[in-house]
Amino acid sequence: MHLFVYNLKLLLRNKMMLFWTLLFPLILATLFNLAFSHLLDNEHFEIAKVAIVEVKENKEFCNVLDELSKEDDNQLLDVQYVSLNKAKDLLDNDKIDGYLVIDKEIELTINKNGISQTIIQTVVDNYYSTVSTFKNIYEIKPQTIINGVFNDLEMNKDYFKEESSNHSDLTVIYFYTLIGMNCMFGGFSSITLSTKMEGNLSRQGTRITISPIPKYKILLSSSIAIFIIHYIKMLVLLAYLIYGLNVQFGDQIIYIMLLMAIGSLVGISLGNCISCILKTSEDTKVSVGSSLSMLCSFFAGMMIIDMKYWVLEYFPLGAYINPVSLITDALYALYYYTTYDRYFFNVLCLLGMSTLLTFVSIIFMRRKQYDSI
Amino acid sequence: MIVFKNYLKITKLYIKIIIVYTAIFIGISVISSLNNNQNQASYEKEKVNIAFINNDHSEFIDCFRDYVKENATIVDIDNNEESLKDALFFRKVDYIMIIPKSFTEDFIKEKDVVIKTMQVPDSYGAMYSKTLMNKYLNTARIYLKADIDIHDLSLKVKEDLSFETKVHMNNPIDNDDLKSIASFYNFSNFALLAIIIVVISMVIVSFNKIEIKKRNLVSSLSYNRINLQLLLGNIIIALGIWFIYVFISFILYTEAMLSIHGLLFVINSLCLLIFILTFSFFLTKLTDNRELISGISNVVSLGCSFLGGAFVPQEYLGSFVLNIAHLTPSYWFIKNNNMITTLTSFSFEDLSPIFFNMIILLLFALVFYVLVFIVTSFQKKN
Repeated sequence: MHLFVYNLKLLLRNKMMLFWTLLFPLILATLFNLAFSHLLDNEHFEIAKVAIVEVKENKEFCNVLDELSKEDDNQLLDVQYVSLNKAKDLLDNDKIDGYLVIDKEIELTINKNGISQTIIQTVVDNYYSTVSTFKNIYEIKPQTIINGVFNDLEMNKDYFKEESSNHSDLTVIYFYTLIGMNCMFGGFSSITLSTKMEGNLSRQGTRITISPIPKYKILLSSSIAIFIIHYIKMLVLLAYLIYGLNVQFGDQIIYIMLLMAIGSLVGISLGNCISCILKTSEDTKVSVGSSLSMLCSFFAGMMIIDMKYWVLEYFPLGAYINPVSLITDALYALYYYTTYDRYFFNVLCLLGMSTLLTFVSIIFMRRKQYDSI
Repeated sequence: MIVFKNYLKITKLYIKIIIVYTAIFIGISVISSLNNNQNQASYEKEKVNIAFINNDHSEFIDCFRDYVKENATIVDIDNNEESLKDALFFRKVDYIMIIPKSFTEDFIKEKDVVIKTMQVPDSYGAMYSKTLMNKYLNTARIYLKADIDIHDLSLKVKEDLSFETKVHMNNPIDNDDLKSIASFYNFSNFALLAIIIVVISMVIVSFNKIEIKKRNLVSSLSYNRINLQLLLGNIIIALGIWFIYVFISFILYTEAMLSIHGLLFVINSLCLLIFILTFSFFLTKLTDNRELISGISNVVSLGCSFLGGAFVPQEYLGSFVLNIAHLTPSYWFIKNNNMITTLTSFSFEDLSPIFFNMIILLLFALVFYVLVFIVTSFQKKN
């Protein structure tokens, strides 16, 4: 119990540790938020702005344009009729996406490739193909046209029925990997504390090792202290993400908190494992720990979001042994899927991983003896 | 030059870490610059990615599929819900359509047929795909109404829909490579900041240890000379790392780099380098705590890069973010890179805004250079 209280104090007084595990993720989250909040804007549908230069009158086509520029939910175009010089001027100043010259044929002029340009072209293409269709039918079965079999409704029938999928904000993955990374950062604390417990690394360590406390008690008391402190940090991060930055998580806050607890456990047991296996100084252990968690975060998609998908697609095993990826995937499953299968699968993997790591650390810690210090 | 020699000796101790760091960052820069490839030289339709899940094998559907293939990119994905949903979320596809069994039969009988789709809500890709596909099916239906055989129909529809409007592209610029180079250099903002600050501080901090500092101060070498030689060491290291970076850009894009554009990119990043140099020298004067320095360097390099647009292009950043970004040198550096790609002529008028940005970068450097002097004079008094 004494040990436990001292461990808590040690953890809270380590300013660098507080910076890396508490402040740094918060700063990073803020930066993510600033940088990515408009990332998906270009994906959303925008009305194409087009100028029309009428050299020759074409009533049918203008009717089509008017229909498409009606201000309702299906508005595709924003049309203005101008002279050629004016149109060129507008295009040069980026006021429009392109202009159409209606002569014998309709031609489009643009400055650069893009979505709006494609839409304008498609409108003209569609007009011509409809004209062509009617011409064809007139040749084969003129009476159908004359009888007026086709009405507008038939021409614009919608054959597609979409399955609604709401949560589709890709950028949440960045924040999820951030949570995963911070879970791993729990390992730093366990590395620092275990250094203080090992006989050959510090004076306190020597002192503790010769005391009559069993090893498992030492490990347990430090692990619990680290877990409590780290879990509080994780909750602060979560609260900041939800209330400060408005990141979407779905509605299952309890599941997320459970996941964070297990994630922190994995981080801490990883840290324990590193400090048990490596017999080097604290600095080296910390840098091994930080490179490992950065590497895991990279493959979970923190720097390049597609990385997560590539790993799942081409090397699924890589995703199952990467704790950051598992945590990210579990959060993603909560956000995007309606069932919990995938979430629980990830949680089980994480639990298995932390058991395995703890087991390894215990094997290495057992019967550790120092000849002479 | 004894201090300078010693500097190099210490650098040698850290050479492994330096190489690993540099390799990682340059690797990431190369990957991220290869990611961005958009043709602006001639007109091209934007193509959406569609997953075409077919449960009805008929000639009509085959022709339909050909049409989809012509107007969009068909992506093959396993037909199970999880793969489809994942692919949609990670934007590997914009639109998933699932053709139901006996679609053709029902379509011919003019029953109400529906194709189930999955899509990103309100996205351009979904909207566009829907328009394209409906056009095909509606045209087919018109022919069907006119009692035209399903076999002939596909040919007719194909003929009707094959029309392509003529498109003129104003002043096409063949700047594919320039764009990639710009994104390579934009990313360098992060890489150079992170590497150089870490490396320089690693070495300099060794000199700042109090015993060593005292030892140096009692030596016959004046304080300014020591500082000067340390600065020289910093310059050599920074130039070395920068040179590797520039060298790789020349290897990757040899042709485009051997031009005035290339020269401007190099000069621009040299200006940034001068800033980084003075900034990291300033940091090492401020504190001896390695961990603190690595914390500051991480926050500064990530912060500047995110705000300035090294990771996310500046046009996607909100105006609020850009306003803050004006206070970072990265903003000016990246803005300059992007401006260089759009240059078509090199008159003084065209170039002056670019030189203006460079001067701002140098002013940032000057500010920190002055700060170094202020801090050192304070420290000497102590």
